[in-house]
Amino acid sequence: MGKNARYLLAALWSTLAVLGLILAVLAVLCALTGAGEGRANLFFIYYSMFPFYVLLVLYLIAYSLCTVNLNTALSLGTRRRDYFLALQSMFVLCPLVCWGLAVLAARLPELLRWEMTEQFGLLQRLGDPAALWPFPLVGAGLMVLGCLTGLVFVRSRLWGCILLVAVMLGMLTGIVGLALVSHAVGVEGAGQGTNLVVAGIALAVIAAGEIPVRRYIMRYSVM
Amino acid sequence: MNTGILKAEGLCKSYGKNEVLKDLDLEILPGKIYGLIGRNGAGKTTLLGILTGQNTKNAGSVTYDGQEVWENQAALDQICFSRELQGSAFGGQSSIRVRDYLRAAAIYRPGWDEEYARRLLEEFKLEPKKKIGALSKGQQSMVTILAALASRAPLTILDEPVAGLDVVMRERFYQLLLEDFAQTGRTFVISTHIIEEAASVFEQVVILDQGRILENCPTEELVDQFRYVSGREDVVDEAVRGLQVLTTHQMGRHKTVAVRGDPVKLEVPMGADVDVSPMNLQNVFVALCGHGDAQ
Amino acid sequence: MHGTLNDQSLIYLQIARMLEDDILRGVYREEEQVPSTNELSRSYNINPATAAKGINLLAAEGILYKRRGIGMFVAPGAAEKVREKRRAAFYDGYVRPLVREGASLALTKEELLAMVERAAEEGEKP
Repeated sequence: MGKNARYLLAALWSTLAVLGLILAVLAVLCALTGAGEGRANLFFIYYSMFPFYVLLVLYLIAYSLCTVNLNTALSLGTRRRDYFLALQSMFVLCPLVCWGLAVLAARLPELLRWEMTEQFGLLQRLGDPAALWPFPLVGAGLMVLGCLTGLVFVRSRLWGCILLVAVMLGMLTGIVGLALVSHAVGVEGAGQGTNLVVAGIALAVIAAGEIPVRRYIMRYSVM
Repeated sequence: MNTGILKAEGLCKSYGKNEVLKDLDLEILPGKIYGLIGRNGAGKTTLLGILTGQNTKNAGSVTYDGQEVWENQAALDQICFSRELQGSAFGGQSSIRVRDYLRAAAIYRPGWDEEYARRLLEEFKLEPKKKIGALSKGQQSMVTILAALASRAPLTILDEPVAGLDVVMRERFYQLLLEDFAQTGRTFVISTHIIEEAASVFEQVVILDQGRILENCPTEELVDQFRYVSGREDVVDEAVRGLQVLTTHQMGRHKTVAVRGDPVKLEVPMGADVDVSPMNLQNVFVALCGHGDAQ
Repeated sequence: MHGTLNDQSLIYLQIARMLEDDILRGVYREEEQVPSTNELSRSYNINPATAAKGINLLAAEGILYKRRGIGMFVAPGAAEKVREKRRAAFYDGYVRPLVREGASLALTKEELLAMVERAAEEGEKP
């Protein structure tokens, strides 16, 4: 399993590094365009969307891990069960790393003394890890879905597309839903209730998704 | 020194209604260079994928050194299967760079010879930074050859390694193969449909036809069982009585047949006026597997 | 395979024949070492087992012998053994086909023999 872990880390680190780079670039752009003065700005919008990029990237990373990387690893003589196990450790590691980046993104405005605008509301809540603790679970859930999408795609392009669209719609619904909730109930009011619901959904997705993921991987035929 | 025997028994594989492998038995003994030949679509890649535990089968068993190959790391460590790199977008290797692929190979293949890999990389003039999808077919073949040779695996299998290579590079490949074999004595299985060129390199030839192994024997022994006999039709018919006739070609009264028999019987003078000539491996293959298409 | 090999007969037989020719021509003299199977394999791009078969054939006929740990050497009297072997095969390999070809050209026995004599005389001229 060590080999698979090494391989997956080697395959992933550059993507995660790029994420960090994007954060840095966005922060610089925001700072340069007057974040300090509290003016509403396109870059602020992009910046506040950072957590969602992160989630999207997790989905895409997982897709690749269960297509190209899976195929390559198996063609070089690894066991399916070892690859699956290493994959699980990535399902833990990547969301945690990305969570760290998201928390950093949330704290940065404070550190750089930018004027808080409403746009940063949801983002800011991430700044307190306890406040939005389901974030890594959601990330893991998206990774499981990403894997599943990849594995389904090679069997049937139709179902793969359907799954892809479903996940994208699901994400959009989630974002809109959260925005609505935080508007309706206020930033403080949403609290643990929403968190529990979100965490519950994420865990359900993970549990339901891992079963087909494991089955498809254990019967995978190299192309 | 490798002592593992790769053995397949009763292999069956179907894709939907299409039966590709039918109750196939095969034994690969260590220390030889095998050639696996068969028509396009005969199932060579499928067979090799199943033998190496990379593809699923419907029935039968594949063992290496007596142990099932499927999901068996000990066996997988000894076997390297270098297949044609897929350029396809989904699940394919087209988006990875050459150096990433080679780094992956270095991680997974025990016994990976980094020095050898570097020498070959230089000789083949491959650019490590290039994406595999951006390479020509010939260059992709060179990557698979590189990975196979540098793996130093006791049983190394190459699927169509010379696809897209020009004749000079093909000759170089056979040279590299023989040099490696002379040095290490490891087992090679090369599948190809460019038969005659490679025939002198194969100690043993395996012919896959219609889902089964037609022949698995030393190349020269096989080829020695076949002859072309030609001349006037009645004289030819008389001469080949008692021998197995595989193909017949007739132009007016001139008849040429391909026959198979015991090499001793074939040496006996066949009568006054027929030409008897040997057949090379390619001729033998066409006679056995041509199935009368295009005469 | 290398240019000098063809597909008119089995490769190992061609290897054996080439070594025999070289022995007759004095390329390898008695007690001299002949190329190893690996050298032959490299030169002609053939499997070493095939090269070995050719060499072993000659070893079995006493034309070559093995010095353990070193390689294969030309046996004493090898050239004569090769000539003997070829004399035995000469009738079937050359004379009978000659006669057969003559018959298909409708040459009489006398015409054939006359030709043979003429060729022999030409061969004797310096």
